[in-house]
Amino acid sequence: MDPAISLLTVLVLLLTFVLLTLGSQVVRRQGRVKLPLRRIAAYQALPSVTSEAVESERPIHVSFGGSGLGAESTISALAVSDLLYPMAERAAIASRAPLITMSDPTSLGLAQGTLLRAYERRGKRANFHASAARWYPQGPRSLAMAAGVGVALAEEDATLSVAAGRFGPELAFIGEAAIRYDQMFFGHSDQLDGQAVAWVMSDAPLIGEELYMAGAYLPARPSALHLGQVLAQEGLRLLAIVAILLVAVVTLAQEFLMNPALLLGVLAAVLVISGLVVGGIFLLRRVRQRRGAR
Amino acid sequence: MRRLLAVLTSSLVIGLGLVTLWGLFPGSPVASITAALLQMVVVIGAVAVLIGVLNLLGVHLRRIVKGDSGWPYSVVVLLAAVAVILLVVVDRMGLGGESDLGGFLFNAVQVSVESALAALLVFFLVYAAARLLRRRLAWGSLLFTVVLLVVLVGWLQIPALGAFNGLSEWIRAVPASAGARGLLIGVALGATTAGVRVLLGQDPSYRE
Repeated sequence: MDPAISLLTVLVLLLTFVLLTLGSQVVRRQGRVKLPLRRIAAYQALPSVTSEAVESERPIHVSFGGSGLGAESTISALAVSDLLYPMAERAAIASRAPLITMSDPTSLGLAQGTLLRAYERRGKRANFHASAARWYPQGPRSLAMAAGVGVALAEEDATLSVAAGRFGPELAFIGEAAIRYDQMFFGHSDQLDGQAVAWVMSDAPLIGEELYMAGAYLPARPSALHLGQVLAQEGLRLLAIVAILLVAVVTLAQEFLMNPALLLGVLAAVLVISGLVVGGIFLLRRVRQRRGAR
Repeated sequence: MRRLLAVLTSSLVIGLGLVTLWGLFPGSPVASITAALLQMVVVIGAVAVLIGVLNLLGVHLRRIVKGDSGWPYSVVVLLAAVAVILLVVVDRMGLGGESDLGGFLFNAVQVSVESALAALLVFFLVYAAARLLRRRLAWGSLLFTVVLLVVLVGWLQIPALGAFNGLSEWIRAVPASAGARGLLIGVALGATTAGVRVLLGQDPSYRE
């Protein structure tokens, strides 16, 4: 590792540690006061859809994709486990066990452990079956897994499908199967191609870092550390935005000083783009109003 | 006892996590320990594949015994799995002569089937884009469709659309790449904060 990158890594880790500790302390001091978390549509919908699944005696499906322990996708596997736990806890009282799928065998134990904890928490250990977590053949672009999961979704008659973690374009198979069998679909991927597919196919997509916040959004009483993590994450996001803007402003200022004509060009481009955006929004509102009137 | 176990697990995770992290920095005195730990992960990964195969066989055996819908497919899966395992064993023992039966099967079946599935992806994605516009008409979905059309038409490199071709390239090089970087930065920040939280040993899985 390059010494400069090493130093930067240490600094980022230290900053994260400080923000996380401060954030969780702030939450603890506040007691039970609810933090105004930003709205994430998928996390707003998931608890009620899971409850509907319990009432209709149909299973829920959560997929880890290619996320596994011991590789670079470790954290995304842990994040999916954070997302699975509160959902499994709700679904533990149902007669049908959740369906958990993955293509990395190292996440098989993680999924089974998470399910077992959820069942134990609800005092339903006897209902736990290790076979609720299913492994499908491995591969970074596991099309076979996606096709298999699609078939399983139809056979198990799941109410909703959450595919989060590491996916490529093969996520389209799972999404398509969910749509075809009238199931709600929530997608996410830490890979760009998978994320694009997830955004197009999901009823309410999770984007980028939102997956890692599941522990703060889904449980009825999230831990101070999970809420602290959200505060730290948002703080770091804000810092990254400010840093990017600063670099952009400084670079542009240097360019303008050397070439004032460029300033006029950029202003004209900003005006044109703003006009297009405003026009687009106006058009969209009209279309929506007409649809509403119908 | 349970509490003691939780403290021990947390300490072990924090300790090994910090040692692994420290060992990744250049010139670290614990680099050899980190290498040994990472080696252990590889071994565990190999054992996990075996557990995965057992899980697969168990799930399908259960389906056959319970007579679930589609159980004949499970019979095919079980037979295919046993046949491939036997073939690879025969190959490794050198009983099959010079032929690489395992490799042949993989290329003839797995690769062909995955290629065929990959070809189907295009249709699924186009259908999904159309469905997106019908179901979730918003500023984002409209922009997505317009940009998709511009990029696809630009890809054809039709000479009559000179400036349009340039626009398509610009979209891919500037806004698309900026958006991709934004997403990756977001994922990295999320992974970092979640990783530090796990390293702090406060994950519920250690306590329960």
